[in-house]
Amino acid sequence: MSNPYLNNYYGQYPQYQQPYPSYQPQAPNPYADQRLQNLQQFQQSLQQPAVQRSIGLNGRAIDDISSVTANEVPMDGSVSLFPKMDMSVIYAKTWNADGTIKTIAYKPILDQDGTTQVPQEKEKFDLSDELTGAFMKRFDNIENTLNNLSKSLSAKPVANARTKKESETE
Amino acid sequence: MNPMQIVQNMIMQNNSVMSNPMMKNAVQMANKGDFAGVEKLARNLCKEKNIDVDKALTQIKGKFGIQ
Repeated sequence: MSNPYLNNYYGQYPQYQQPYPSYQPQAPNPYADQRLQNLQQFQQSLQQPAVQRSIGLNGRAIDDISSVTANEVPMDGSVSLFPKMDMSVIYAKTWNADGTIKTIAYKPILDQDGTTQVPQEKEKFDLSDELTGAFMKRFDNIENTLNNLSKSLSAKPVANARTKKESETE
Repeated sequence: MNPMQIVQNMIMQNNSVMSNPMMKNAVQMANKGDFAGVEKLARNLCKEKNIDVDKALTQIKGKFGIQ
């Protein structure tokens, strides 16, 4: 015989159904919700790590550099490239820390016949022509001095020998 | 800690802001009290973007009723 008290007591009776839907708290002001969302988004943006810069290159092909506006240069410090349509020059533009835009122009190195010249491998000691000239001039001076010295040294013993011979004959 | 410092700390801790060299420079100048430098930066920025600073200032002042 089953004990009626062990059964689910509430199971014997229909559960009380609320005649009204449950109370959902609603914000009195819809603008308050919006502001809260904005605040949450702002807080999330602060917590997010630094935005990774896009891997692709910024810029576009241009006819003239004057057609490039400041808005086309990203303010995150990355460089935008603007090659001319005829590929005669490539402009690289980036924002400086002082609020100005730095523009660097890259031009192709062409041979006399118009073909592209591959830059030669630089020597370990790459000196300018002026510096090399100065060194060569110095070397020439040293060479001249040495020549003069050797001439004077070779001339002096003869003179001494003559004076000795002259003294012996007397 | 005053509200100014709170805002400064919020900016300094924001990596996306501090990874921008121009913004970083501006914040550093502001922290040092070099407001002339900040103004120069702003003027350079406006010049690059073809904005007349003085005209823009008078417009803003006019909107707030400042002469």
